Amino acid sequence: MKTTSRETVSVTVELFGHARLVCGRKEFALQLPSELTSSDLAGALYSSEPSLKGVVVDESGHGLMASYTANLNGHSFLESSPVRTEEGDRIFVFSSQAGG
Amino acid sequence: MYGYHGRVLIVDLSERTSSREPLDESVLRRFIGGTGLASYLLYTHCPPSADPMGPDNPLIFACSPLVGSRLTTSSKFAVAAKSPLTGLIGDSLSSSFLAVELKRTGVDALIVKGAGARPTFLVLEDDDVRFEDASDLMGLSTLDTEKEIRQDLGRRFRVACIGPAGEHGVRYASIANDGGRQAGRTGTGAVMGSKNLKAIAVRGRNPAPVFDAESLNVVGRDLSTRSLGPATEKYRTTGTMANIAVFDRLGTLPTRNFQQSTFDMTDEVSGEAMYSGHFVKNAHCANCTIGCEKILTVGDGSGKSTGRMEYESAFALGPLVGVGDRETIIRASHYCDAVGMDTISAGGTIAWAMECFERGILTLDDTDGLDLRFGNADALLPCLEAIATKSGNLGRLLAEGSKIASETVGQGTEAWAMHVKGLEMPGYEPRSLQTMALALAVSTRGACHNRSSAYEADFSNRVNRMEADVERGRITADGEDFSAVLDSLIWCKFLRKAFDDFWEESATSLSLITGWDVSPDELKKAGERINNMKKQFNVREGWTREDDTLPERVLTEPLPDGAGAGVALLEEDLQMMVTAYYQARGWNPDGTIPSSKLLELEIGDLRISRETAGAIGQ
Repeated sequence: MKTTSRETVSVTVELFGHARLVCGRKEFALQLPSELTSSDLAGALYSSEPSLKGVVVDESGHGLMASYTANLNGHSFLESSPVRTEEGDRIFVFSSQAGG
Repeated sequence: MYGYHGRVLIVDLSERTSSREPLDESVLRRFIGGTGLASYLLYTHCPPSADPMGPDNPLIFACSPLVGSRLTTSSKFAVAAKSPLTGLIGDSLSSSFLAVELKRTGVDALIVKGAGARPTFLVLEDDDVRFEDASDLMGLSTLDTEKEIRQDLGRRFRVACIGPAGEHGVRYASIANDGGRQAGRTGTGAVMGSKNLKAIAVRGRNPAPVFDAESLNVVGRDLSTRSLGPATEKYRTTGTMANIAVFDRLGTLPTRNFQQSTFDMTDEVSGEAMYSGHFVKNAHCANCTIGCEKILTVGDGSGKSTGRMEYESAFALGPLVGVGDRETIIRASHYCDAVGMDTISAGGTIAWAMECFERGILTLDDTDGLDLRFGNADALLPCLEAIATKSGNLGRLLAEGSKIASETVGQGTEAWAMHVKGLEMPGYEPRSLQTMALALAVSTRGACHNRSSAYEADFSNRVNRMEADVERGRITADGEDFSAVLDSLIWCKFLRKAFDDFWEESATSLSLITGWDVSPDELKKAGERINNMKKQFNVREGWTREDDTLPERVLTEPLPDGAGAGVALLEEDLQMMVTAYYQARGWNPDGTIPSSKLLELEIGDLRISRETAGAIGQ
């Protein structure tokens, strides 16, 4: 898992769609790097919720599946470049297939 | 000719005659099929300023070159007519076996003109065209109409029909086929009803030949495999209704007539809750590997209701009208499908009425005693029933759609009518999706979420979705051209992410089907051509730049809640984007199309003068 900062913060991860049904939970707290990438998130999800492997997290455990995306507080989407996270932030994990 | 028949069937209901006319290969190559071909035929067969509910307005069904191939998701057709809601171009897509059977009758399109003197249903069987008495079918639901006809003619027949909403002239009536699928938007079902045409039953035995079927099968197998991968995961699992909860958290869920962008009862009406509590099975269109349709059921015994559910229906009959009762939303959606009525426009029009009621403009006398406050689930189904049958004060008023209804009531209620050009807004909050805001404003068919793919940019880091900028002009124009080709070939939108290279693969598929040497650039130009042609239809009917706008609320009230709290979309920002869009299109500052552009796109014959233009809304 690529970690860009040793400092961690507690954030709430909310799952949507198939991920929520598979995991059986709507949301949970995670300790995540304060400089966060999508790879960091994938690794943390892989460790805390193994049921998400092959659904949200790819087989390597280091990346999100192409079918999912992650959004910080309803604003920016997590990518390979780190973004600043703060205590109490919320990350929404949902389908990358927009629209419908 | 490969991939096409090169013929169009023209039926005149007034004269009870039919003829098959040649369809030139140059037309097919320029407009492809589906929405492109349907729009072209509408342009050429609809007289300027025709009354949308009159006999001169042709109702057009168009197949596509992919129909009849085994390519996944390709069994689709387009319907076009001048819209009774907008007075402008109206088009809608639907899917499944009807498309296959219609094309197998040996034509690429069907044009229905005139109006029957009495209720009629058409039977198209290969070269044979029969005009049958539909008196016994009148009043039946779409599902029962289809069932009756197929019991009578045989199960190989496929049926497109209207329900009571189309019969009564509800301006947002839809056309149903194949067990409840809908060509939902822009009121083509009202046009069909105005023609006294209850149904069309089709059966054919003459498929169009494919140029290189063996190579096409190789391409098709590869695409089918990818269609079962991550690119379609949402559609294969929870379906589009999963958008409810996501949009709530992103502040993009229009609620209580766009007064809010989050809904306090989202947990109750989320797609996840609907799926967990009511899911029965997935359903597929003909030749589709994805199976996006979620069949839900509620109740039991005689009160049982089973049918489809999509995001747009869930949003429009749930958060938009403040209803947080899941079973009511599901029943309301199934009811709309049964009576043949667009759920988005139905919900949007009811939401306007609810706001009028809460503000004291509409009284209990106006609503025939219905307590039409936001969130009153008990009022939703009775209100829909009144609309579908145009009964009572309320039903007659709301059957006209929010634009005409608000103009009828006046008293400033036009400001709460959430439509663009007369078509009610879909479930995308434009203030927190500002690329989508532009696309909604400039769409030729009114507030449309399906002809631009503009939300793709907003749901990414490509743009700041809370702000406007000039880049949205190019993004929207490109998205419209992409969508025009998608909707003309026709591929299902839910397949779009499964392509490694959409343009290359589409050009290859079309070449293998037709034997033409089609390039990606030719397809891109076709997409631009189709959008310009649709725009030119609207210009002919009296469109002006002032029509490319958004409802007053969107441009004057900041969002009060959610991730976009405080975000506004100012009129000048929208107009800046509209200007950028016209520039990206190579259009004049007033939004009209220069002759040079029409000539460049090989549609110079569509040039018109302002003197021949009609009046918008006619």
